[in-house]
Amino acid sequence: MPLTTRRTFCGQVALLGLGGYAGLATACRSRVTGTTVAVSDASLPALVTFTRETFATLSAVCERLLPRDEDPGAIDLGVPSYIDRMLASPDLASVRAMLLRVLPMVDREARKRTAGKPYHEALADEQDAILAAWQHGRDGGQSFFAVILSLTLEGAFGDPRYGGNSGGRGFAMIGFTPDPPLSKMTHLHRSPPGAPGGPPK
Amino acid sequence: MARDPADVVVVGSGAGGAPVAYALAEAGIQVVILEKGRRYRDEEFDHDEIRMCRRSFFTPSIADEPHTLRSGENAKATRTTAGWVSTIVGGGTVHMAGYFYRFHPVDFALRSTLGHVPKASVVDWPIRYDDLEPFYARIEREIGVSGVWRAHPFEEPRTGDYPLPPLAENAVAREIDRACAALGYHPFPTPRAIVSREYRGRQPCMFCALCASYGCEIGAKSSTLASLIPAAEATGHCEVRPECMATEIPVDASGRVKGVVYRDAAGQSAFQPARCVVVACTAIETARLLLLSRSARFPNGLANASGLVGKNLVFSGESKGEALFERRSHPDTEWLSDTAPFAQRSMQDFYWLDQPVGGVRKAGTVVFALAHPNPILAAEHIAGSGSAARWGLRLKQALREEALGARTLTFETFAEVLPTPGTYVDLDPEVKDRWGMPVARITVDRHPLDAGAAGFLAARGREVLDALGPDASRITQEDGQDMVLQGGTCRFGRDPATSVLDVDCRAHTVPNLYVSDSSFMPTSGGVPGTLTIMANALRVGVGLAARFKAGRI
Repeated sequence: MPLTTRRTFCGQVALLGLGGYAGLATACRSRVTGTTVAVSDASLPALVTFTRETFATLSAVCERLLPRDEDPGAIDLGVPSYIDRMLASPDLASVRAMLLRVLPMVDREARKRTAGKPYHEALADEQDAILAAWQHGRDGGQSFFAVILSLTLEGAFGDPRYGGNSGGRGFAMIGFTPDPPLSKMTHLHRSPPGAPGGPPK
Repeated sequence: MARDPADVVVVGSGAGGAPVAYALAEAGIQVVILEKGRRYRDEEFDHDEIRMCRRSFFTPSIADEPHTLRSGENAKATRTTAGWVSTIVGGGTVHMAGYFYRFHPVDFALRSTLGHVPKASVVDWPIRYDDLEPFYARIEREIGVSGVWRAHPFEEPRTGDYPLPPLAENAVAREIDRACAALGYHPFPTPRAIVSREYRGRQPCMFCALCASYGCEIGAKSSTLASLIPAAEATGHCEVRPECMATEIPVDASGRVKGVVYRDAAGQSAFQPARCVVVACTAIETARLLLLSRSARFPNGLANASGLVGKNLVFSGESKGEALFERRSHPDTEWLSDTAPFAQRSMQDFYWLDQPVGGVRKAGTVVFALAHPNPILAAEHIAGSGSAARWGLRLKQALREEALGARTLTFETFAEVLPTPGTYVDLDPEVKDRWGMPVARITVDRHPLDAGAAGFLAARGREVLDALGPDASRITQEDGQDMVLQGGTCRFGRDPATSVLDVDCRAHTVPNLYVSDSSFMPTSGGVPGTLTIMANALRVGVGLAARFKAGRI
């Protein structure tokens, strides 16, 4: 019996890796060039969760999930930095622990398959094959894939205040028009002066 | 720390608590509302999907305060976020969609209408629709509800018009009207707890893209935070104490409650003495608080001599479906470019079925809505999940085609959920919250007819969507098994052996204890219960105020 929560709270559940899964395998394959990410670049922003090396793996994974084409990709949108910063939140401690454990495993798999190349330097097909294995239940579960896909979509289409969805270009990609900022709205204070929620006396 | 005594402590500030507090304060009775959640100013409600919808903004974190859930008594209970309602001043009314239908007369007399239903614990309510009608009418005025009177033949009897005209609607509403007319159905403008004009100093709806799941930053949504709470405070007789979680309701030697023990905003244990206590912290948490309040006099939990506290938990039978309309195949379809957010149509043709379908005689309501525009949720929906999830260039293409190149029209149902002896709340024997108190354990054994009612309504919803000529349609959930819109854990009734509360929602066995949230409901009804909870809570508050005035508390 499916027992689920309501409406948008399911986003939170999916992020915690508790969502249900259904359907047949439909692995994605792409023949474009792999995503190559610089590991040491002084111009890169400071990291709060990941080492530079693991961040390179993360960036390449996100870019394979949402690659650049005629529209911006995950790296263009600032998704990897979004994830790095978001995982500093105590609410996401379990997600952080999982990514810190799994991303180095992803990288090691790439080095095994490619005679030593890290994940972020592997060919796109190799990168995708490794991700597809995780999607279809590598390591006894699909939660890593579900979580990284969810976080990538958060970083691409969430509020730009968190550093993702750079320049609102994620919103533009899916035709979402954000509501006007509060400053554009006229406020009528309904609570009596001095009451909580009302204007000062 | 003890406080000066209050006349009444109300636990909870949502749909069940605020109307009682308002009625009492208006009558000059001193009320303290203890609310577990924070109080926000309107301006703090923004449209940040990550903050509002994807973290624990409205609901407690599953790590700190889970519920546990099991399917039947022999299953192992696991931690869940299911069954939570908002922990915030205003409760679930802050982020509700605000579908504000009344119950129908049949909802008050389900047992005598259906007769005996095997494996279900269906009973009649001890009051009739006519008893509640004046309170429906008054609460609609107090908070501001918009709608159209006499818009369809299945409407419940009303004594007057809605206080506000209906909200502006997307052009799809006319398409739904046409499709329904061809099918012989009778759609009507969905009544909403959103003010469509300036109302009692509140600004009218500005038709934001994001509404349900968010707080309203201009107070146009008729949450208790925007309406009853400031009105109660304005009397000078009501104090709202946020971030105060009730932990126990102690009793004196005579079996009367003395007040409420709570954990205050600083995390310290405190006591608020009172002459009367009203509990309204959601059906599941109200049952938990009563069960946690054990004493020599009430060893099985407060007001639980009958053993019925927590029993007969019900939800609303929610099924869902959607239809995709691609712009390229609908070049002349006006509504695809209409930015108005509300489809504003409902159907109640199947509230009562003269010819039973698969044993189902009471179905419920279908509401149509444009797909929620939450951008992350929409992207996740398009991506799909598990082994079927799309990613890479395929996902980019799908996002362009389905999010940019199409619109999705959805339906949702509110079907009758029959109470059963096997669906109830008790205290989890192992799992505790972060303060060391046992959490609520939810055991679910749904009645087989529930899925029939929700599935029947889902088929009708899809029939209408298909009549609009979409490129694709599907039912995304048809069994109505979601745990939404809870009720029923402290039934009201005339017989103390078969109910927890009396007709006034006062505990049969505790003369100064009331319960005013959805716990009182013996059956679920075929609409969301929120308006009915508020109308009944106003009735309870008016009755309690009269008792105070008569010196009977």
